[in-house]
Amino acid sequence: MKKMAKNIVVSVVFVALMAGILYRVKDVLDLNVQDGGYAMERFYEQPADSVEVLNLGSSHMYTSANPAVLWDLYGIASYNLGASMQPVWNTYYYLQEALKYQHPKVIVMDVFAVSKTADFQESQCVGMNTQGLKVSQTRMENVQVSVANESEDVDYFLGFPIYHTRYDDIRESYFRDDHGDGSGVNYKGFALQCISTTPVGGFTDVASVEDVNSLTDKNREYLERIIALAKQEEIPLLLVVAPYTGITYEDKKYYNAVEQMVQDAGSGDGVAFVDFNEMCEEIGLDPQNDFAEGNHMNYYGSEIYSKFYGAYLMERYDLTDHRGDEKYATWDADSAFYKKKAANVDIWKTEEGAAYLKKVFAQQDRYTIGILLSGDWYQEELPQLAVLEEQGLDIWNKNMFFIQNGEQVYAINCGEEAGDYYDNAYGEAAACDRGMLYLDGIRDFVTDTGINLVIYDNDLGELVDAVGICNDGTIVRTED
Amino acid sequence: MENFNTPYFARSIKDFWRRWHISLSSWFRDYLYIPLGGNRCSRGRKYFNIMVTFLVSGLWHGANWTYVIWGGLHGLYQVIGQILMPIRKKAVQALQIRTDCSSYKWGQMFVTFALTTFAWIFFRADSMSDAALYIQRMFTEWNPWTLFDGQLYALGLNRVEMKVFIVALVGMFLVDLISYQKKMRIDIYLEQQNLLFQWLVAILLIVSVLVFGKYGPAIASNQFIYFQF
Repeated sequence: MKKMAKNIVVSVVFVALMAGILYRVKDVLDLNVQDGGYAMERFYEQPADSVEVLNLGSSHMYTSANPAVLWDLYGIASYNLGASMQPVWNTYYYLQEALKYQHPKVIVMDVFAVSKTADFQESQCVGMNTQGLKVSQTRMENVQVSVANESEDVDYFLGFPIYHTRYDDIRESYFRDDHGDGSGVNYKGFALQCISTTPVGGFTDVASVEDVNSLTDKNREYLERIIALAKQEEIPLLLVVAPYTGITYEDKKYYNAVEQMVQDAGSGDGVAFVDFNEMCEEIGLDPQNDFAEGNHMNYYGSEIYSKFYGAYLMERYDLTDHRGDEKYATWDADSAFYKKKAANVDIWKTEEGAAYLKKVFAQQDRYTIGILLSGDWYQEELPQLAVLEEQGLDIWNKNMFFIQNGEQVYAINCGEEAGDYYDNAYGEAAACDRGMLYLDGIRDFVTDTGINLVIYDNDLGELVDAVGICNDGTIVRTED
Repeated sequence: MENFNTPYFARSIKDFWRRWHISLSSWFRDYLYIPLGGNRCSRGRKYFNIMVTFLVSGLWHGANWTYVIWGGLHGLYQVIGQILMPIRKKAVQALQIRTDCSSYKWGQMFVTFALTTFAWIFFRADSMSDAALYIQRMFTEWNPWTLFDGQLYALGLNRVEMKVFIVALVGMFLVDLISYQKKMRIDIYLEQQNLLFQWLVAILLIVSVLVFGKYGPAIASNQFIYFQF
């Protein structure tokens, strides 16, 4: 009897230990990437009944509707709940799941997905659109409608058979609780597109397209279900198409079909449709500067669009300005995070030395900055040197500097002084005897003649940039 | 029935077949080799029986000449080995080679491993011409730098998977080595260890299978080469 009790205890301890380890392994390998299940996982953590505008859809939605801008300008508490290439049926189950936890004042769905006619997607997209949901009947139904081969339903429902292979791409960020996203629970679903703009001819004039394409049966069925669910919950539903430069006449014909559906449903029922592609000039979007590529806005574009979009929502729906309300502090945090992130990206995109340095020093209160002057850098008229002098750096007697949160903490002349600088918080810093600059494990010696610079964002925990500013003012990076 | 008993520690081809796919080789021994007369007959007839048994064993694996050649090679290895036995013994005596030391045994294992691996070329090849080309290139396009210049990673395993493979290979070697030296199955060996060690091994194996295992929608089970047997 005693032996049996001992065996039971040992077995229970082993199973508990095993379960704990497997849970951690699952947590590390989980497919919670920003364009996958991450938005859904973070959605569960939002304060109860706080989300007033629920934005649904694919990447067209979560790269255009900018919750930080909607918050800053109008106090709108919005959340972008979507995933990459999200088809209409996944949006339906995302909505069903979302309504278990929040009761928004308006649901906005970007209907780009209706222009896609395939009834099933590639496995990668299926994974990204099914893995964020908690284990529930909704998750099972979402899987069943997404997976072409029924025998794979269990794999997608369990999840681990789908994402266990991510071990071959494993990186340090997988082990962090926030998966490398500094905003953590404050995340509101926005994906900042910082890709350089792709010059395009201009917007396609789709306003004149009146023909209608038939929606696929599956798209129509799930769009009808979304409309029915919104009506059942008595929440207004706004179907939108966010502007994109790659829109085609064929796409527009599908959007016309959606508009027709809405008209058939009757606008008095709280369902409305708007294609913002017809208002690009009114919104103020510039096709040359505000888009990452044919399908997505960059963050410049999202700011312009969201200003218009927010005003559009405020005018038509009963939304409250929650700025200053303690319950909505996470939107303040998201806004602060966005501003820092956008400033970092702005620095990264700046191509002229003096302007680059000015932007860096404007954010220096939260940066650690390493500076190394190399080669024949000493030409008095250079504007980038003037910026360093304005910051009080003694560049004519020293050539290596570290600035931490706005304070100069280290300055030496590498050629004459031996010594090093070390700070545990931000990693190894300098090895002066070799004239090299290190920060956060990054060795920077990009230009032989000019200013070498490494910038680390202490608030966001990310390397902002590692560059060389040549004497002619051009910016070079190692990969250049 | 234990089906594989540290086969790559075999010191001869005959020994290999006592350790490899034991259920199948026992069946061929009991229902083909012995009914044919086994080794209780003339030397020539015995060699014939060995060749027939291994050629049929090759055919059992698949109706392709590559399998027949694979089986035939294993038959030939044994026949030639037995024919040359007196000469080998004389050579060992003449050269005063010690046969009771570990290095001799490891040498026998290496030769056996090389012979079986050479035969696997035919087993794995899609056709005889593929096998011939493979062997030809072993000698005409000798280039050991392909092991180091990244070409290995173009064969189906990326860098991370290759590391997992090497760690797994070392693990399997250790398991076989323990089984071979302790002359017991690994599970029985583990039972004799402390509970904590048993747990560590069990957890390592379970997590390894779940993480590194080839399963899920992206994997077709018929990709596993031995599936058809």
